[in-house]
Amino acid sequence: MSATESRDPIAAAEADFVLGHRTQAEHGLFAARFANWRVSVAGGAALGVIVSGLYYYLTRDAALFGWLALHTAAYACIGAMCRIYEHRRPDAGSAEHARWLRAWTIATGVTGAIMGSLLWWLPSERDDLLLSAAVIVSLACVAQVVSRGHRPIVYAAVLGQTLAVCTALALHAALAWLIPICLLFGVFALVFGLTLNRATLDAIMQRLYAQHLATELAAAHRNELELQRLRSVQLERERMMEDMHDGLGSALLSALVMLERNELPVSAAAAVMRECVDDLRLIVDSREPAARDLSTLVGMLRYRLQPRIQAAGMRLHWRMDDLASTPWLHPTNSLHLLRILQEAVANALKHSGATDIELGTRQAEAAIELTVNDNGAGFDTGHAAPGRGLTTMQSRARRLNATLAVDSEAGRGTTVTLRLPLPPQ
Amino acid sequence: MPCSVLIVEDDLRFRDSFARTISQAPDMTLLGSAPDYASGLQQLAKRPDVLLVDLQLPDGSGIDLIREAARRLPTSDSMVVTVFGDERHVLESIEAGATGYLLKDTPATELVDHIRVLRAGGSPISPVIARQLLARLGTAPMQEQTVAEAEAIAPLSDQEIKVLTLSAKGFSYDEIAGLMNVSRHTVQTYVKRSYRKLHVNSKVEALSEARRLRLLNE
Repeated sequence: MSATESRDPIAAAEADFVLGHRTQAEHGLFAARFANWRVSVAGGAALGVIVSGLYYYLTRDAALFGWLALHTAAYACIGAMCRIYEHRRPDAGSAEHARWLRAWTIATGVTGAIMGSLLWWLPSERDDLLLSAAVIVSLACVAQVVSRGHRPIVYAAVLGQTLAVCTALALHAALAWLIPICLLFGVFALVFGLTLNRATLDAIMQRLYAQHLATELAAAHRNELELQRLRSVQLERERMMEDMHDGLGSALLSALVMLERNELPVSAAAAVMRECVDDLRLIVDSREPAARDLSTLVGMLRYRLQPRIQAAGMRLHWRMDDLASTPWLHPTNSLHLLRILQEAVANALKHSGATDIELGTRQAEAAIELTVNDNGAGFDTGHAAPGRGLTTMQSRARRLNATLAVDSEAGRGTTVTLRLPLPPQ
Repeated sequence: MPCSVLIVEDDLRFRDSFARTISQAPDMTLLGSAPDYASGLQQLAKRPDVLLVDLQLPDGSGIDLIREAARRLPTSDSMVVTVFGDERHVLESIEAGATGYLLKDTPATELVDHIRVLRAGGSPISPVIARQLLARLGTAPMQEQTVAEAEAIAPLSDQEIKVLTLSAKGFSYDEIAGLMNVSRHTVQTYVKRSYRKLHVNSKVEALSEARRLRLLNE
């Protein structure tokens, strides 16, 4: 198996997503940082006041006011830039947005340098301890920009300040030994800033990915529901086609053709229509949820057939065992079952000349037996019995996974038994 | 006193056929026949004893007409005329107050018999309707009901349950009468009484449902 095949598809999808959305995540990071620019700018300006105030207290050197003016002016510029940017709201990724980023990068480099240049403003005859303290404070101040979120800004801030501090140290020969420490600190600030930047970016990326997954999941769920609906509509359609095809469709069509050729007398046409209506009722009953119960289903058949049996002058005997519930009986199966029994009763009505007909259900060990029994003329089962629809009944029984037995002998009536095996528990 | 009948049916041929059959019956008078909901509603003012109504009328539902008849003429009987006698239509009609139903292809002679049985206090039933009635009336009362409503829910009597259970298994009225040692007529009145109970209960349930919705909205 090759390396690409063994790649976890989910991890691969995530990697693709990260690649494709890096810029979006960076824009997100920038927007998040920018949202509180007022705090950052005010904080930077306040830091200048505190630091220069501290050194003025120690040295009483008025030159520090010059530094403070420069520092405050730089922050005022940045604040003004932020305000304008906020007002214009250029699209992330646009050329204008890129120009703004460059401007901020330069501005941050400049403020870093100003912060580092604090040493230049201090009188060179001051004792070394104070200068060392100023260096440490200057270096520490870089921390306030390292999390600015945009990588060039981080570079600019660290570079500007480190350069300014190092040149100042070079001018104070006694402190030249601090230069390596300063450089080391610069590297540390850079690594810290970039790591922080990376971590924040990852968090944003994860949030984006989670949102993306949630959207995809919702879409997949909607698709699945729609598919299910389509499938059930399709299934229902197939069932209906099957139900109609067997009886109604062909009966109506052949009657229509014969009527058009004037070959069908009105009484025969009425008989066909009657059969079609009866079959429609069987379809309606087979789809009735309450008739999932087998005794109610067969009861409905009796209810439908009763008038015809009575009209033929026959007595109907109803034998009904208490049956096990049949939740596995589906509409299509119910319809096969009803049609088999109806055909059996119709045969008894048409051919047997019986006086009594018995419809019964019996609960056997692993099956339910349904019987239609008459005391009529009977027929020789060894010979073909045309017009009795026995072949169709047999094929319906097979589709039901049931067995159909026709037991008859001339002069001894007919018994049709449909044996419906119970599904294994 | 002859029994007066109002027919509401949009199909001209069925309407005429029913009308002719009823006019010819010595113990019945045809009060009127209406092709739609509006004129059917208007003719309810003639106070028919029996309302024969189709469910799908061009300008409204026969169910509403049955409900109106049950409200205004509590001693009348409504009979719904259906093609298939399928459970949903018949059960909805019974809930609205119908006490009988008729298949559209019922022979003329039987139509008159059905009306006579209905006026004598009996109702027809099919196995599926029996099973549905058992399911609907055999269940525990709803949770949100007040005590008064729960008392208004009429449970089926043992005899009624027995009749419905046997009907659901396909036994005919005569067979049930034999099995229970009562007359055929008594069996028919048990069925009619359970129809009335479904009607009353569905009214209570509707009230209770309305109250629950109001509570939820407040």
